[in-house]
Amino acid sequence: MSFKRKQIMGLGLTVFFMFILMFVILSMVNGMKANMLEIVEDRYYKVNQATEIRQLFYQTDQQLLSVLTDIESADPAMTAELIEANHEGIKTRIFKLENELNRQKSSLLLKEVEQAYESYAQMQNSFIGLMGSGDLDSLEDLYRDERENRNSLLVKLAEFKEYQESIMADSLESANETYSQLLSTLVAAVAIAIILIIGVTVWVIRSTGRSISLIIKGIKDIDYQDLSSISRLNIETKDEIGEIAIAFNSMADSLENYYVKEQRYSAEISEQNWIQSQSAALVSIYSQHVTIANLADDFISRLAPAAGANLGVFYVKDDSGSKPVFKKQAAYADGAEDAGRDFFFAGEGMAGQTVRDKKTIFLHDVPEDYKVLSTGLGDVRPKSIMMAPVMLKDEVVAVVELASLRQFTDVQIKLLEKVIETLGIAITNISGRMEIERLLAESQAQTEELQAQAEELQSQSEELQAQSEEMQSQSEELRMINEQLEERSRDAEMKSEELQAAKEELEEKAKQLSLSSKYKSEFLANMSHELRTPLNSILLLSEMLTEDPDQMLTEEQREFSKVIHTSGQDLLTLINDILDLSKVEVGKLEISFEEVNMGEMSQRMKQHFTQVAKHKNLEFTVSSSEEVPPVFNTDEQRLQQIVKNLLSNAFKFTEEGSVAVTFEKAAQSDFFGLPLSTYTDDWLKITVLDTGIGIPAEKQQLIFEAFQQADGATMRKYGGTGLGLSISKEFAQLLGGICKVESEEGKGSRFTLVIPNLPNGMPEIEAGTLAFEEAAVTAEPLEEVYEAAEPLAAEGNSEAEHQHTGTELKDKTVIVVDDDHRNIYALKNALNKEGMNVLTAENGMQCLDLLMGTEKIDIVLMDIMMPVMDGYETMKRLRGLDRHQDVPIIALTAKAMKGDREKCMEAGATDYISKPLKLDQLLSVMRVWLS
Amino acid sequence: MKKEELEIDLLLKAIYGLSGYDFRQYMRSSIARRIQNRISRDRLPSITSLTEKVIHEEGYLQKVLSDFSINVTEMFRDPSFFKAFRNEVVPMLRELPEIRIWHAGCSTGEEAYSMSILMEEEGLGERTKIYATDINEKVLKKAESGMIPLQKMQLYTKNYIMAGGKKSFSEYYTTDCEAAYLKSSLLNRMVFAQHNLVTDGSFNEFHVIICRNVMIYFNTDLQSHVFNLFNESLSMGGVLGLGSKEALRMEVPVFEEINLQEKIFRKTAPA
Repeated sequence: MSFKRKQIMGLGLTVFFMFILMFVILSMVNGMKANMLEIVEDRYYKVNQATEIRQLFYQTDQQLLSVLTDIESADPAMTAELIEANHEGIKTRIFKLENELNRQKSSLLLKEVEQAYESYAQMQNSFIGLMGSGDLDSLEDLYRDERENRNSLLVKLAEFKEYQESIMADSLESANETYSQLLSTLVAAVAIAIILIIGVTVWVIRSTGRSISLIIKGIKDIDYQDLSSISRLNIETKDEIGEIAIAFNSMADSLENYYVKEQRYSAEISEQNWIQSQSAALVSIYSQHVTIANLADDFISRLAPAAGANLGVFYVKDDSGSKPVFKKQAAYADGAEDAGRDFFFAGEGMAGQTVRDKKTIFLHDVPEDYKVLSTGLGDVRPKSIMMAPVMLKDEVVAVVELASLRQFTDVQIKLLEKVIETLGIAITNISGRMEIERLLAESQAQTEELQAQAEELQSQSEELQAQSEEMQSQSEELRMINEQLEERSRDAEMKSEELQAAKEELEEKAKQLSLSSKYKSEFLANMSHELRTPLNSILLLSEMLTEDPDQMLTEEQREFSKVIHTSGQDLLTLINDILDLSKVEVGKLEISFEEVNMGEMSQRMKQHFTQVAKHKNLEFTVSSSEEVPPVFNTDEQRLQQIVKNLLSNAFKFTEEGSVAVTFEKAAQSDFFGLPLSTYTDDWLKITVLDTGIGIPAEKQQLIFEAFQQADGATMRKYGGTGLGLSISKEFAQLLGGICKVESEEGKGSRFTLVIPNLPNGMPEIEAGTLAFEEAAVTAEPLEEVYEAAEPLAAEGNSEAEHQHTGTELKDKTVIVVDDDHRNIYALKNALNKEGMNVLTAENGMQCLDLLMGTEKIDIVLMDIMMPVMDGYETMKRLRGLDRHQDVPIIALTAKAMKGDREKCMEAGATDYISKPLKLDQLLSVMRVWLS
Repeated sequence: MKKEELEIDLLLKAIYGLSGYDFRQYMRSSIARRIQNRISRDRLPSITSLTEKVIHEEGYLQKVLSDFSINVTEMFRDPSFFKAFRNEVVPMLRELPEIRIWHAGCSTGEEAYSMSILMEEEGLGERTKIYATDINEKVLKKAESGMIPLQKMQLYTKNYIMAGGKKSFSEYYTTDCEAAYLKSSLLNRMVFAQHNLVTDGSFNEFHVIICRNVMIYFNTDLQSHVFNLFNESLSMGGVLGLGSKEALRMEVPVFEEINLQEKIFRKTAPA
């Protein structure tokens, strides 16, 4: 029975019992109500009627009695009327009772009452009639006659009333009885209903409660930590509880199912996590390595323990050969012996098969003779082996082989498969990077190599240039010889004629040479003569004027003539110096070695300069050491000239302090390295020491050069030509010695002359040493001398010397473009002196016209600021001309103009030079661009 | 090929033993070409015969030595280098009381001259001392003379202008009919000395080292040796200038780039 039905039934029964109970109570109450009605409405009514009848009778009786007692005062009418009314009331009530009475006895009693009353009623009527007559006795008789009847009536009536009252008491008793009966019935019914309801309730409660507690127990018994087995509910009722149990059981089924699944999933997830973390750790190393070997080593040494392998080998594909080969790059637990092959080809063995199949190969039943694993204790055979190809796109780039003493688990296999997924990319990346690095290094090496080659090539081409020039001259020579030979073989006579001609030519040349030498000598002599003659007269006359024997001159004029005299003397010294110097350099200076008395020499110096020392207020000492030989073999005149030069130099530059000259025997160190140092050990050292202005270190070499003093200011202050020291140096060399200087600026100078004792004159020693090269007599130094003298020559404007200078400039054509006539004039003069053809233009237009109309233009000097057409415009146009567009243009820019130079270069200038022009700089630039 | 290698080895060993010049760490290819050049010029049958001449024939060693020294240089060579030096390095040098510049492998000195001119124009001439060194004494003599062949001056003028020269180039030289002569004021601040990068050590602390197109003749070992030498010889923040085709090879990065294009580096870590 279902739980619902049970409940409905339980509750229904209760309701049903309640209805029954109510019905019983209602029927009982109705019975009671009927009893009461009978008592109240029937019996009470009947008793009441009987009572009323009696009252009415008594009333009538009373009236009659009253009439009897007091006839006079009785009103017959009124009494009659009352009696009549009572009579009517009694009659009606009796009639009603007759209809009502349902019991035999009461009806009988009522009949008797009625009959009694009938007789009474007749007497009454007779009474009424008599009454009018006033006969009292009759009335009394009448009434007395009826007395009997009246008493029986009263008895009958009382009897009837009593009967009715007894019936009413009976009814009351029966009502009481019914009530108590009802009460007990009610109590019994209620008790029964309560018992039934309790029974039903207990039954319902008991039948459901057990199932529910079973369910509760079942639910409580579930172990939520472990849902693997849940105890089932054993309730077989068909009600809802049963259904709950069934539902619970199926829930337990699915819970168990779910739990199993969950266990499986979480195991899978932890596997996945393990694979992920292991692979992440492995994959992270991919980017840490720059070489495949390092990667392979790191990879295999991490993968093998992670994958539970006891041995691991890593092969990487090498494409460099003709056939791709897989080479062992790294190994894990690789034995000291060679575990694993060093390389294999695709398709070769199982590993090769992996490459061919592009699939991982597993070997579980490793054959007996398979490779062993080495441990410290011995060798064991692996149980399981796997070989996995590392893929990139569809290519196998590497192979990983692992061996284990146990079976590889799925997870380990998955890990391997996972990490090799991206390994291919890593390997390719690294090998790509390595390749790039290798190529970079290679290209850098190649670049450097190329640069080196280019430089070598350049230097070679320079060498080749030199060689080809050499070759050219050689071939020129060869050709000449060849021609001569041909001619000689062709015509012997011609040959002799040639010889004759050659001889004549030679003679002519010799003549020319001697002539030119003669010219040279003549020139020198002339110069000496031409200059000295007027100079002499100047000196003489000025000296005379200075003396002024006639006292004709003012002090000032005397002073002037003194200046003229000293200047003349300086000029003479200069001329002599120049002559000496050129003689030395031409090699024409005669040197005669002779015995020199050293004592005399020092004495002479002392005499010569004591006066000067006194004049300048300087201390002057001449000392000679004892080791100095009394007689020394050298050129006395030259030696004296050197010492004089050094001394006058010392006095010239010393304002206060002292000048000292010492003669001593030179030590080995003084003449070490000189050409004649090996020839003789007998050397003299003369030192001139002063406390003058000194010479800065960087100028010390310079002062021995011709026309050099420490600086221009010195020249102005101290005068002199600056030739003295260079002559001293040259002479010292001619004497086989050397002249040196040591000096400190502001402290003084020490000039040292070291010369050898040469009793047999200058020895013949091989040429080629430095000192002699310079003194060697060749044609070249002659030119050099003149070239070195160029600055002087430029000042002197000597035509003769211009023949030799500016060979590059001579006969070159220059256009000077300038709007300033003075500039043009000055430049024209200066450039003409260089032997150049000078064309002039006052502005750009003229310049362009000039260019178009002239065949040969070598260089253009271009002023920038010009009217009509300025320099920039002119240069731009010039570069666009048909001819001379490549001519070098030197722009003459104003120094102050910023950006001028850039504008000039843009406009097409070749070089620029700032104004005001320096002639030397201008000529230098022109030489550069005409070279 | 192997024989030739061996012959070259022997020759270089002989040269080292005789002269102290060690060319064994020079680029083999370059040395081989120089040797081949000499052999073909003197019509020698083999490198060994060259070795023999080097050992026994007087003066021949010098000849071969000068063959090995390549002396290609220009004034303001690669003008952009000097322009970059002027714009990017000179400002860093301005604060120094004294500026020491080393031109290693200066050859005939043209680049050192250029540096002297550049510093003069930047107003730093008085404070600058230029040490120009080369292995080859013959070229140093030439460098010391300050003499430049006239026909090269046109190119140098162009270089000077492209290198951002501030004056007229002609202000720095005088000429005669054969050559141009650098003004002595420029030469005065230069010291020329023989120095062998292979065997000689550091001789001063410099603010600038210029070594351009020298290391292209060295193998990588020698290059890193020389870089170490430069590193030791540079003050902190010192500047190293290399040739345009050269690369800075240092295992420890102690230099940062100032101008990678022109190969100008700055020392950032102590030696």
